[in-house]
Amino acid sequence: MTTVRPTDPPEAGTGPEPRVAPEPEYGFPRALFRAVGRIPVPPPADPRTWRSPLRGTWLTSVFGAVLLVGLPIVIVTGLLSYIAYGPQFGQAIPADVGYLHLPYFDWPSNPAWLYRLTQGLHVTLGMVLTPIVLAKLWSVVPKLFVWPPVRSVGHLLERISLLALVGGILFEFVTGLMNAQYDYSFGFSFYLAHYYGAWVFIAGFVSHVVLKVPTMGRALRAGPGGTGAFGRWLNDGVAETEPEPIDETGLAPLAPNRPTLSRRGLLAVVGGGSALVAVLSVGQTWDPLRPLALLSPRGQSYGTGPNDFQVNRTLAGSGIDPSRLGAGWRLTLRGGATEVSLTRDQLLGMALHTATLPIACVEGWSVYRTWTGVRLRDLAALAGVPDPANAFVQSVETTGAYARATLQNNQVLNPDSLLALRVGNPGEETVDLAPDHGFPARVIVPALPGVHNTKWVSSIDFRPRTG
Amino acid sequence: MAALRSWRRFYGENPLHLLSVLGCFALSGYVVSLVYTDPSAIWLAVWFLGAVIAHDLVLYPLYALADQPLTISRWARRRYGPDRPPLVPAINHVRVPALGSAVLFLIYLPTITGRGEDALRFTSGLSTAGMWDHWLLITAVLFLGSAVIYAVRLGVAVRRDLADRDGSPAPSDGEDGGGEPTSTPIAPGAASAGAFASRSALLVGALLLSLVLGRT
Repeated sequence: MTTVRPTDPPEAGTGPEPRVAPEPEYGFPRALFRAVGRIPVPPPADPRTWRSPLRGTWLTSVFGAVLLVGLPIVIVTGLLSYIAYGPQFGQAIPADVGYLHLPYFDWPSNPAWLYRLTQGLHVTLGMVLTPIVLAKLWSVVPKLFVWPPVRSVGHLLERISLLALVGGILFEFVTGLMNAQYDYSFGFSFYLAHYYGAWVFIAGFVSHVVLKVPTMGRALRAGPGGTGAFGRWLNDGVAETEPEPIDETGLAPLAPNRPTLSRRGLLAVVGGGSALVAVLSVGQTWDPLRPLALLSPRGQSYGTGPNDFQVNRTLAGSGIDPSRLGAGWRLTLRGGATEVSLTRDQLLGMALHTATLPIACVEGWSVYRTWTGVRLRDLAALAGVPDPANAFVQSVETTGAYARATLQNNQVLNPDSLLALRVGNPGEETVDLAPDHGFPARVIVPALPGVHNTKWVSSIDFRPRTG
Repeated sequence: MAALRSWRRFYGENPLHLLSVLGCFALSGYVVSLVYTDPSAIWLAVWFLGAVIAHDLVLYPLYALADQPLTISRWARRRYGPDRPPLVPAINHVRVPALGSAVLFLIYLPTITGRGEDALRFTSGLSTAGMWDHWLLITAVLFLGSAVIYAVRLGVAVRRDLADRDGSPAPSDGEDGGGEPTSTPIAPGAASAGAFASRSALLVGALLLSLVLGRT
């Protein structure tokens, strides 16, 4: 956006070289395709509908290159989240996905911020890429209405495969954005839909990348008029902006308008849109910016007290009778020769450990807290199973999907894995957990997805290794 | 390679193209084979195809509109003929904040419109009240910021134009939309027009802001 004087370049298309689309490469039966192609069609199938002087192979390639870096990060972090939920215990959803998963491995409990990072990236980067995805779709919209609609068998098959690509990305973004904002009106299981939708998208994405990367590389390397200057299009202000040359991709306009925005201006607008989304959404996972997360449900603050942090299941929502969490509450430990039953005072009398750990939700938000409680490995030793294969934690709650969770061996033995009794602001004194945060006791394990840090714990079953 | 050439003539693309497309179909087909027995499979398909159709029906007309800024801008400056072009084009000062506001609305639609209200309250005890105002507020800030920048640019342009006119009597710099090249005769009140534009931009912004603050 330079301060142009009121000068306008001559209307392109009326200049000396008329812009004419090259004859497409028709497959068999050529005569039929060519005949259809010669039928005059109204907009939007008429290529002269699309008049933006900025559209072209180079511009689409720039958006494509950004997405080629960004989307694989979103894909991989999403698939990692499935692993983090513990599919080996059948507690990742959907439970049976055939061959559609990363190789299974025990999700690490170190570093503590691992899930905060992967899931924060998955959600926030997905949101930040939204304007770029929209810009990419805008840049290729003439191909949606291309005439003739099919020019060969290969073209037909490719257009069908684009349904997996475009349908996949729209489906994933819509379901992801809705789920992170508590809008479940789609009426199916989010996890199932988002997971399988992701694999359809991966199918379309990989195929599209294989087919188009050569074109992208050529366009980015060629620059204007094949000068080989990668970024030379970016030097042009509005007045110097000329349409890209017509090529076989059919993206550059046949009848371009006079430019009102330069290429660098358009890229700045799209990048600025991403930056705007970033500023408004990073706050849900990064405390210093939380006041700026004006449009995120999780940008809201509960206050500044030790228990004032995000709740993902209220006591009221759990359906637990509060009297069961009073003086009569007991923690039951199983796995050894005899059951062990402990009151909250007995737990407070054990060796207490304090750790500052994040709690990170699949929805992308996270908070840091300081937790005080009994180490899970101490409880395992007390139960008589100091090196369990895994541990099954059951909440007093019985109804919800996350009223129970199985923890891996490394998650039980991590020295910072706690049955937390108290909580506080990072680095400050801790106080008793609030009822909404799992009083009398809850699990907190480093790098574990938030919902598996079971609240209102009633029993832990330390399962011995077999063999 | 006669075989390759006749393959291309039949299929229209090279053989690797077929391989890649078949790979896509195979993986998609495998996903469908896993999911089609699920009771909600039909709704998955409806939403999958619905997302594509909604995109083409809702966003396609907007794309088409975005391609026709001149139609809109010509109407907006119908009082300015080729002999009287605007000193600073205003279109991007409208387009940029409008796009920013629209993309935020699209991304945060469930929160802004309160569609997740009940589930959010059940889960967290929080509410989405006030989110509509936040969006309006951000929209106001975007438009206000854009208006201020426009006013500043216009002020600078008017000043420079007057300086040019003092120096050389008839600067000839340009043509408009296929029109004849003309000089840019500045109306006698150009400087005060610039000041007027800045003032009205600030006024509109302040009005928007007070509307939003009044609601909260």
